[in-house]
Amino acid sequence: MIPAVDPLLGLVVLVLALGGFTTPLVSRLSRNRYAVRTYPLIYCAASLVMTSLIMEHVWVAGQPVVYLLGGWRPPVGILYIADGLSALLGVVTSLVMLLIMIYSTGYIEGSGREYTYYSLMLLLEAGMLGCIYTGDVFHLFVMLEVTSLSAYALVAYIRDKREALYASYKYAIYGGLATTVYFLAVLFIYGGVGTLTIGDIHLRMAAYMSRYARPVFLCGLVFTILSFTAFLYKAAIFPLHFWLPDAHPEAPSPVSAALSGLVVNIGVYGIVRFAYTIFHGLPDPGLYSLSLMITGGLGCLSSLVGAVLMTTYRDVKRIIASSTIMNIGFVMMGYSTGSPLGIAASTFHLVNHSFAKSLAFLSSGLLIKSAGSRVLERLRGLGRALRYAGIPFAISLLSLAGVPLFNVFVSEYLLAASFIYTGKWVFLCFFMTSYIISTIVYLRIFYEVCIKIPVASAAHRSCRGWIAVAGVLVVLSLICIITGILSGYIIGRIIMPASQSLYTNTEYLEIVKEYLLSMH
Amino acid sequence: MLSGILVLYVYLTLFLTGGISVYGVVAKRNIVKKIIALTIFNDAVNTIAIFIGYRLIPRPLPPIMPTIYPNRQVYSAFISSSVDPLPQALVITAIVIGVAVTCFLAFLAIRLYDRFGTTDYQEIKRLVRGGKR
Repeated sequence: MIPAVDPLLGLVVLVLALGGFTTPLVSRLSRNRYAVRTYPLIYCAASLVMTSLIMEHVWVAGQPVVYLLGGWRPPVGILYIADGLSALLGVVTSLVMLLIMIYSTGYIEGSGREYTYYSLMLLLEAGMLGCIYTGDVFHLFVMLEVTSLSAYALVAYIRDKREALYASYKYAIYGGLATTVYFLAVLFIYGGVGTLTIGDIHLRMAAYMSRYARPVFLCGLVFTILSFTAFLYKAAIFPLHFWLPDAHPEAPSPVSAALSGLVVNIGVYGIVRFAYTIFHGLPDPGLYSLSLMITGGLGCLSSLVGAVLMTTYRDVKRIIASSTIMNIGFVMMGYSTGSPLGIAASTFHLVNHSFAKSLAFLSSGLLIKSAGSRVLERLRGLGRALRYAGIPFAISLLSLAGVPLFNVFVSEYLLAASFIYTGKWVFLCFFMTSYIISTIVYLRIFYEVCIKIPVASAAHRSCRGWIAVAGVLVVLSLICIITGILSGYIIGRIIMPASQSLYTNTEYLEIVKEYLLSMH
Repeated sequence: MLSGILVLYVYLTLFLTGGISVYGVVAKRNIVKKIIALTIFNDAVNTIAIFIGYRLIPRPLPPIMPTIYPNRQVYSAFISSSVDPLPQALVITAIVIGVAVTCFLAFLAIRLYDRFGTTDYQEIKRLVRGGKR
């Protein structure tokens, strides 16, 4: 198999990093305050074009596309590789980030520090795309740190707010611990099998298992536990979810959208990539079944904990943020069934959750800004007063609640079907319980905010760039509705190829093997 | 024999240090002490990385090729006795990243002290939670 090389894989991360580092410079050099708002948009649009081209290349080639960083071959150099799943997540990430950035131009308050916001957002996107496209466990560590550090700083963007500082500190100190634990996991696998490339780790583990079954298994076990600890923290799965209800709501609303809709995906992606590409298909299936057991069990608990947390808060952003814990729990449960249907359903749910959750945060941001409070009672009937924010908010709530015709309903239906199909009745019990609890909470918010008559006429605070803001909300609402209506087409054309490339890792491994052989 | 015990001792010490520092991050109440515990954990992991590079070789040599035109024999001697340089490269990267995280946390600690007037994590938590959820 001849590898398809695509230099855009390496370029997109570098271009975004360049944008991130030059944004402060542009804001310093130009007197025009519109320059700092529009300059980062160029990079976001460019990244969307590039990730779309990568996805098209993956489709046309019918196999994973690769790029060697600096021309060094895999076991020595860093390999960038995009299969169907990474290409899909790359496009989703850059599309949602572009919409969030357009929204930010009308939402983020000035005060002369705006450039730090845009710079950090670009670096966040660079880190996420690096995590998604890399095929090297140590490079994943570096990119994870780029993502995390930008996320910590963005949580504390409003640096005079006490809650934001506390949330950022909590997120950062345990996040620093989690990423260092991941570094320890990388060291274990390097000491054990002597390579850092993801495909090569699989090949070498498979080769060594025939002779040294016990030591390789132990090394893999330690690697699994340590690396999953870090990813579970990033994905906010149950025992390590404690930072999320503080960190996500305290950030400005566009940042909440990026954190809740996209950054948690990175943790999920890491777990899935390791479980399916490294451990799937080894001679000893112990590690594979163990990793699926961890993700499935914790996913169940996580969904229930997220749903229960949703009922305990009165703060709208906290409720929406807690539902992230639940939805990521659903995604983990679907991936842990190990069946093609479960993987496809989870991938679809991950994508749908990104769109619906970012829409929920972006539209609620406008309502909260107008009301001056995040408490549910203060937002009563505000959706009727501010229609251009209220209607998208209603759409996002109905979508997240799993109302038919919206996108999340389809993926949740498929998830339930996959649990029944694989006979995971425990999963189905947890799933249905959390689903019912969350639907009640969502519909309550929907009733309070969008149906009830407002008690007092809300003080209309007009938004600066409301055309950009409203445009973004309309686009995201349309995505939610159209994905729901055309779900059959989208699953068949986009989701199935992506999940297929994850389920059968032979193509991925063939490509890596090609490079390893050609070195000798 | 002696070197084996010594290696075991070093690894044991490093893992113990790492474990104690994780305990420090989780259990210490002072926000600055939490940061110090995190840096100790980083350093312990970095030292483990360096030791993994030594690959339990009895008499390790620096990874420098002794001749300009090596033959097969030189290669095999080099591979069997030189230290693996890759973990050291990883450690340099990890140190740089660790500095960035520590810097950011130190900045946050200053801001937290500025805003709350205390460095006690539990006290800060109490002040934030005070009243509404």
